Amino acid sequence: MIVLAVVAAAAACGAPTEDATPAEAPHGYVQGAEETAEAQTRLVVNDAEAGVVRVLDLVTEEVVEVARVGAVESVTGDGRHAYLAAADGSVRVVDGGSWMVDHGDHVHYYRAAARDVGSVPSAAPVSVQGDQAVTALALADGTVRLLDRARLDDGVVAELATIPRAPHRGPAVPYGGHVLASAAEPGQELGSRVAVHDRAGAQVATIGEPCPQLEGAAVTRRGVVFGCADGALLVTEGEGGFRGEKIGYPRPVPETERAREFRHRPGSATLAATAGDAGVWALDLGRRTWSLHETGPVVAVNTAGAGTPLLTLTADGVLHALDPASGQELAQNPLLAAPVVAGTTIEIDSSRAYVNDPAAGVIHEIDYGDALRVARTFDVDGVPSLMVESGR
Amino acid sequence: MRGVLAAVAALLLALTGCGGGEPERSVVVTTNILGDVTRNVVGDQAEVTVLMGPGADPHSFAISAQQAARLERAGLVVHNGLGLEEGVQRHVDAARAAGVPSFAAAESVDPLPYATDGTPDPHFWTDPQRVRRLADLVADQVVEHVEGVDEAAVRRNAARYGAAVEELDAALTEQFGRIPPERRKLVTNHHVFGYLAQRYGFEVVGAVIPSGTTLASPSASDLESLAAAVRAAGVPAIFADSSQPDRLARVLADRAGVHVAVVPLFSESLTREGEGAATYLEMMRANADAIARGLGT
Repeated sequence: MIVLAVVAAAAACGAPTEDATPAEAPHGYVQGAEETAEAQTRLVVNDAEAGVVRVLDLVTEEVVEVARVGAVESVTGDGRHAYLAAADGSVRVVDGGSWMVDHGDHVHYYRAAARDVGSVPSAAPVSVQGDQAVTALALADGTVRLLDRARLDDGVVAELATIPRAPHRGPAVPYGGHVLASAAEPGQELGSRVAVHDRAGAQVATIGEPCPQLEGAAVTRRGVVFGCADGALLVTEGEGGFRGEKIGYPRPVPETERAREFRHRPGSATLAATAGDAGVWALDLGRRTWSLHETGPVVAVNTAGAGTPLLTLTADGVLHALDPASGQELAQNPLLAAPVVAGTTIEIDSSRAYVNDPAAGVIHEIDYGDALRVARTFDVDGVPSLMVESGR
Repeated sequence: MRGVLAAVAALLLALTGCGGGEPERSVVVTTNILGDVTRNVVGDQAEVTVLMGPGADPHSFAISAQQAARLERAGLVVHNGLGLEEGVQRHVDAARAAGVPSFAAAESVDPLPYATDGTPDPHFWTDPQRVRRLADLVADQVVEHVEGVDEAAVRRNAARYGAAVEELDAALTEQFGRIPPERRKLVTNHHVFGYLAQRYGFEVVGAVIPSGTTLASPSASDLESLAAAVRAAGVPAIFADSSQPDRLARVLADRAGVHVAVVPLFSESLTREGEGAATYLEMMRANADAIARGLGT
C-alpha cells in the first residue's frame, strides 16, 4: 500500500514535458555569444559594386559576407546592428555580432557570428537611431516606426509601435525609456520642437526650449543633441523628467554653415560636424561650447573626444589631425587618391579611426594618437563603399 | 519504516519536479560560486540546483523555462544580489513575489563600497572570511525554510565547510604574507578583487589593458598608461584578462621596456572539473598561487 503510493508519486509526472519548452532568454543574451576580455570591434561594410554586405573583424582580421543587397544609400549603426537604407526604400538590418554591455564600473564585451537579420519594407528613413531596447526609423512621411531591439538581437525584425507625426524630415531618438522625436508645425519641412513619446508611441511631453529648423541628432552619455538653426538643443533626463538646454552658436551662423549631421565616438562628449564650406564645428558638451575651425571644406570629420584630435578628410584625400581647442594642424597623412568619392567616412573608437577607401578597395586603420600613423590596412575583397563600426 | 518511505516519497516528488504548488525540498542557487558553498552546507539534506553553468558570466547567463519554473517551486532561493545576476534577477523577483523564501548573500555579509563610485560591490567571495560567515547564514536559511531537513546535519556540514574555508584563509594569509609588502599590488583590469585586497592588504591598481586592435600594431602611446602603472607599482606581474596575454607581455617589453608577466586569474565563475577552479576552494587557491608566484615570495 505504502509502496504503491511511492510509485504513484514517482510516476505521476514522469514525462518531463517542460523540456520541450524553449529557453526563455533574458534581454541581451544570445545563444552562442561568447564573452571576451576586450572590445571586439568590427566594421559592417557595404560593397555597392558587388551588392553585398561584409563584416570585417578588426581583431581576427577575418572578412565574412553576410548579405546580398541592392543599391544602398546610407548606413547607420546602434553599436551592434547596422541599418542599411536601400534605394528601394527598405531598411536592411545586419547584426555585426559584436557589442558591449556597460555596467558603469566595468564593461562586458561579447562576440557572436555576424548575420543577416532581415528587412523592413517601404520605410525610406530620414534617420535611424537605436538604443538597447528599440530602434526608431523616422520616415520621410513623418511616421516613426519602432523596432524591438531584443527581437533584432534574436535575429527577427519585429515592430513594436508607430508614432504618427506631421509629415516632415525629422529624426527620432530612443533615450531614457522614451523616444525623443522632432515635431513640426503643419506644412513645414523641418521640425521646430522636440516631443517626448513613450515606447507605445503616445506623446507624453514636449521639451519647452524650441529647436528651429531641426536637423541632425546624436546620442551621447550626457544626453541627446539636436541640431537647430540657433545652436544645439541638449535634452537630458533628470528627476523631474526630460529637460532641454540650448547651446547657442557663438554668433549668428549662415544657414549653409550650421551643423546638420553630428559625428562622434559613442560615449564621447565632443561632437564634430561640417560647417559648410567654412570648415568644421566641434561641440563640447562638457563646457557647453561650440568651436568653429575654419579649415575650408572637408569631406568627412570625426573625433574621439576627451582631448584627442579632430580628424578631417579633405577632397584631395589628405587626412588631417587638428588640435580640438585651437584648430591648429597637428599632423597630416595623404591617405587616399584624389578625388575622394562620396560615402568615404571616418569611423572612430577609443583607440583607432577607420577610413574606407573605395577606390583602392581597402580600409585604413589610423592611430590618431600617433600622428595619423597607418596601423593596419585591410583588404576587404571588394569595394568598401559605406561602413559603420560595431562593438564599440 | 513508514517514516523512511514518506521521506523517499518526498524525495521522489522533489526529483521529479511535480510539487503541484507545494514547495519542493530543494534549494535553487543562481551563481556557481554560491552553488558550491550551498551544496557543501546542504549536503544530502535537500536537492541543490545551480542555475549558472561552469565558465559562464554571472551578469548575463540565461535560464530555461524549466529552470524558471523550478525556481518558483523551490523551498529556498539563494542569490548573490547587489545587481550581479542581471539575467535572472526578474526570475528571482518573481519567485519572491510568489512567496518563495529568498536569501541575498552579498547584502548579508557587510558589503564594501567600490573604490570608484561608492556603490556596494557584489564580489564579496574574494574574501574567505565573508564566505565563512556565509556558510552559517546559508545553514540558518536552509534550516528555517526547507521542510524536513535534519538541522543537526546541516549545522555539522556548515561547521565542516566553514573550517575548510578558515583553513583557506589561514593559508592565504601565510602565502600573501611572504610577498614583500611593497609588492602587494594588483595591477589589474579585473573588478572583483576589492574584497581580497582589503582582507590581505593589497592595493588594487586599476589598469587599462590595450585592446586586441591596438595590440595588432601598437604605438608607444597605446602602452603608456599601462606601462606607467607598472613602473609606478614596481611589480613583476600584472593580473589581466587579455585574449593575447603573451603578445601583451611581448609588446610591453619591446615597445615600452617594461618586463612583466601577464597572469590570468579566475574571477566570477567556477570552471568545469579539471580546468583549475571547479570549486570555490580550488579557485581561491589557484588565484593565490598565481598572485604569490607572480609577485614573488
